[in-house]
Amino acid sequence: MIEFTALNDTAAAISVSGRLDAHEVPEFKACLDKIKAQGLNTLYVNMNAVSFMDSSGLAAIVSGLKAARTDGGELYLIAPSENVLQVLSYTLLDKIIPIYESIEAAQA
Amino acid sequence: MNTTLTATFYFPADTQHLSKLGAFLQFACSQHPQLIVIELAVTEVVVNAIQHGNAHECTVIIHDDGTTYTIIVKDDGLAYNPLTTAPLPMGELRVGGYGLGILHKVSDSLDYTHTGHHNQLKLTFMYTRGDNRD
Repeated sequence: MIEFTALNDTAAAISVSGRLDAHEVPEFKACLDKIKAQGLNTLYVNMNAVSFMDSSGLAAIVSGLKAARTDGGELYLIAPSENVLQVLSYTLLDKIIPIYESIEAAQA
Repeated sequence: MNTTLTATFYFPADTQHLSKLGAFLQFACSQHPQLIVIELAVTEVVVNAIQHGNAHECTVIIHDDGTTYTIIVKDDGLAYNPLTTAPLPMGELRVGGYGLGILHKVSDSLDYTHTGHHNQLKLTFMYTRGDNRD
């Protein structure tokens, strides 16, 4: 399940739970499109409840990050689950994508 | 004497079945210390067959000899040997191209054959290497 909430005029919090695989990626991308249409360019993606993410899900995260940066913003991963962290580690993207324990920590 | 087990999962080649595939792998490979690596690798192979190979059906066969899981992924899509393509470098911010690298990273061995209009990739995962991939 993927939900988002606008935090202010520029930022949104996205909550992802369950699987983020090739089947769920279209829903995630549709969510990103809605957020972009609202002019929000700073994304906090909470992945604490993601049970499984494949490379399709990872590619969607990178796509969202690139789009946010193009629009002058940023994408932060918030409290990713152990399974998500492992995929990030295997691909060495844990060194590139901003990861924080909480939205507050990312904003500090 | 080790007990050997074999389990088979057949499904139409559609991403809507990935969650069922995951449940099957978690059940059949429950002795592996890092189940995530098996689900990651098998999912990458299956999704590739669906999205790029135009496969219609997939079969995943798991053999457990008590020390190693040997997994055969068969599909009827376009012939494609993933072992002939070099994985793209990791650590690059790009939209895609991570699947093959993950497959090589987490599998203990890979072997490809093409027989009877089917791709067949054999992957192995030793119990003891489950925590040795970082």
